[in-house]
Amino acid sequence: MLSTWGQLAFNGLTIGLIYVILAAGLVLILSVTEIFFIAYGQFYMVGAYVTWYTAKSLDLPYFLSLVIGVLATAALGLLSYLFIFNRIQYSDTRFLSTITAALGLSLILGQVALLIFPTTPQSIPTVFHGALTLGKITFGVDKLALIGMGILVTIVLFYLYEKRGVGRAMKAVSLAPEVAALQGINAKKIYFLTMAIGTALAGFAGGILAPSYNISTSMGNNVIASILLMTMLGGMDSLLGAVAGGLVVGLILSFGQYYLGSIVQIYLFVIIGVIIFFRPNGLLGHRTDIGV
Amino acid sequence: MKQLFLRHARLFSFIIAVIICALIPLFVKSPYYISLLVVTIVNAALSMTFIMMLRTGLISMCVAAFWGIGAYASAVLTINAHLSFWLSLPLSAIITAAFALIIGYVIIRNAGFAFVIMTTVIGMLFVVAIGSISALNNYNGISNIPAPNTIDLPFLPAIIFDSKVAFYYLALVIFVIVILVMNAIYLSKVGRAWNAIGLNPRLAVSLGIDVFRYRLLSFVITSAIAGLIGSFYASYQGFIIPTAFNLFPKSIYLMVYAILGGVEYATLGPLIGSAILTFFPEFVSMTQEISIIIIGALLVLLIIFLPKGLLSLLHPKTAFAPWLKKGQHKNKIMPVSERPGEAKKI
Amino acid sequence: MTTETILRVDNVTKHFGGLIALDKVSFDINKTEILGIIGPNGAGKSTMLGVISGYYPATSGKVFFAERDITRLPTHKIIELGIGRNFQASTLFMSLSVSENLFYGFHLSYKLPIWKNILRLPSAGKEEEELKQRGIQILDKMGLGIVKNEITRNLPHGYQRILGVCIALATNPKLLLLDEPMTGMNQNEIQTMLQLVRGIRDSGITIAMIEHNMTAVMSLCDRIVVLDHGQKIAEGLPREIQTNEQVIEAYLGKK
Repeated sequence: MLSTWGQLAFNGLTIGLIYVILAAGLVLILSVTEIFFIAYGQFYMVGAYVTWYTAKSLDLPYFLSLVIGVLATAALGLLSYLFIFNRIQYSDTRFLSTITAALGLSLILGQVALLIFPTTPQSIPTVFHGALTLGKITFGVDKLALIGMGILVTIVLFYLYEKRGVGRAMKAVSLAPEVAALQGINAKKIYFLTMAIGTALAGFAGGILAPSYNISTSMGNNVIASILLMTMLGGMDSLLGAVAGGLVVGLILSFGQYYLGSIVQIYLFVIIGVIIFFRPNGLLGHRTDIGV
Repeated sequence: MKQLFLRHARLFSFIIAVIICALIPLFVKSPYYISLLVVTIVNAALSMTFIMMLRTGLISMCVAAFWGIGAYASAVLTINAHLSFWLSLPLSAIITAAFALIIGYVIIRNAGFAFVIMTTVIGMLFVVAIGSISALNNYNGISNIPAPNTIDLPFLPAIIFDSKVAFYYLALVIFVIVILVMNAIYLSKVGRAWNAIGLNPRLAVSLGIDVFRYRLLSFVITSAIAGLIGSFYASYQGFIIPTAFNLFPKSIYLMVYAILGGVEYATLGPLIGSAILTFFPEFVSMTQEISIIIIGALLVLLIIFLPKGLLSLLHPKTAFAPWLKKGQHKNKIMPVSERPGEAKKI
Repeated sequence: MTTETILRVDNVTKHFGGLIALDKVSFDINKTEILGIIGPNGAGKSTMLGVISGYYPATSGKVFFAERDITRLPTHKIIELGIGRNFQASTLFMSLSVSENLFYGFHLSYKLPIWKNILRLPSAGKEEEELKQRGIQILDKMGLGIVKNEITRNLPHGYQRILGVCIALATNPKLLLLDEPMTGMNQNEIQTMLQLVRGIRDSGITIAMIEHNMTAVMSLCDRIVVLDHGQKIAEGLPREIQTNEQVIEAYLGKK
């Protein structure tokens, strides 16, 4: 019993870190660019597959593949912003336009992936072999590495966001782009940068997932609902909230999936719905007007 | 006579259009094409509800889910409760409206991203929800849904629903009623309040408009209509499967119809979009995957180059995206119809 | 609260996070007076207006309108009770015509039940026609009659501001809150606005006005409340305020 819980907790933590990274990236994009970036899940998938492809077919070492995966995803994100969102970011129908564009992008990426990648789930061999056992709980070294890399990246992200000028600039643009412009911050550059960082994070999450779990072309669609709920729970403008939300939801989904099956998502939705009803900014967020 | 026509030009055009549609089955004999027309009507009506919510600043990604609630409600009412379709039709609308009232009360508190997220999740979880209810046959769907009972009117031959043509006329009648009801609401005090909310919520509030209540009203009314269409659809198809009511692709397609036609034209926009995209695959054959890529690309290209849809080409000056001219940085405001008068257009 | 008091602000405090925008402010507004609310930038004047009209919930304190506690009421309810307001920026339906803009102000004025309106019964049509006429009367009285079919975004700034006041008037207020109605206007427009405001008061509506233009304030207002850094530092007749040392310091001290 305890060991099942322990195992579930460890798995939940592993998946939780993935969610933390995804939620963090999405929160950045949502709060700074105010684009309802529903295509985000597909970038997660792209990162996983680019890493998989370079590792498996090009036979490159894993860490190189991971870097390539992250860079490719960020590049894709930048290009998407350049050709699509940059044009509609300032229009008076931007609310509907950005949602629609993100939706279209999500469809395109998803379907193209379906066409060019194999339909069966894939994986790549991990470079972290072995496992630690404590009692009946197995701590796979690869999963420990995943957790480690996840925590590392999250810490770096927080450092950049809270302690460095770039983070302050992002916050300024997120709260009041006109005022930020007066302070000499180029909002447009920040939008590009935020997209790059956000999608890079998604790609990173996919890349570190690939050795430990199977990847499929629908993995993006499968997680996007949960990530959106996570960002709402934590607060759409709070990085800390994304982390908290990611861990909490990751653990709930891990335990819930085991004991209840897919229906756990519905319970999660209802619970978060109730929380949001009483606390519209989410647990740690401040603004309720994002996107409006 | 000409004066009379000009003054009520829209009404007359509408009547003529309805008459033309009623005459179509005399010339089009193939049941397949008739069924395509029925599908076009169903899609157009659902897409119209998307626009009705859009008017008030709500972007709902779960129209298909409420359509599904109506369909499943109707299936249960006609099969398990042995009710006549004619009773189940309005009841399904009411049941769907009840769901919408409860859900809407919770999620409309914060329109904007929170609302879109919640409707996205609802849209994605609907299939899972149905799939977990064994009383609704889980993921297998419900079949053998009875067709509407024969209508026996005095002096006229009985109307039997055993052919596509019969369903076509039923769809047409329902569609006409839906159009009339929606336009009546648009032109009324309610529609005006919705316009105000969509154009400038802050100003609307200062005019005494209860933004929450009117948004909730639009959510409930549109869901009732979607449920009504769902009930029709269930009896028309005879079977329903949960994946038909998924966010992807159904809800997204409904959005595409509206945007392709033009979101400022509450009735014509969705109708044109639905007609074009429902019939398009008939003339160009392609695989499922390619067609979805094309839909995605269409969404992106439309929103960049022709954000107000095809019908905006009637006013070429304002049709094309502002950024194509020397653009200025504009404030992000709640967008929707910039010309709410268009809501009057049929 | 005397029968002459139409609005009582009672110890209202408003915090925005760590910022204290209003600090225990209290004053009354008397029926049919024109009250001026002045103070240096950032004094909390717009916040005060926002609290009274319900856009910002007060952190503490109460607001009474005609003996009724409106502190926790949502804005649309407060408007319904008879308080109207305009906005600093041109908050208007820019893509609509002037008369259409005004017509939206009559949302609360419909008397017939809603179903009659939806069914487009003749009685509903008549009611809307009456409201339209009322709208044209307001526009004529305020000098916008000639532009009633113009699209609002094409109007010069001064006209837009007047339209904003017109729309607030359409809501049939007993108390009208004006937020800097003369900002951005030239001398002629200001004179017009002065006349219009007097006309509004003469028709029985109480007015509370935030304004920076001191000449206008002194000539127009019966009484003045002065805010500085969220606190009320003076209240009284215009000539008292003009010679009040604290007030002078608050303004000059800023420079």
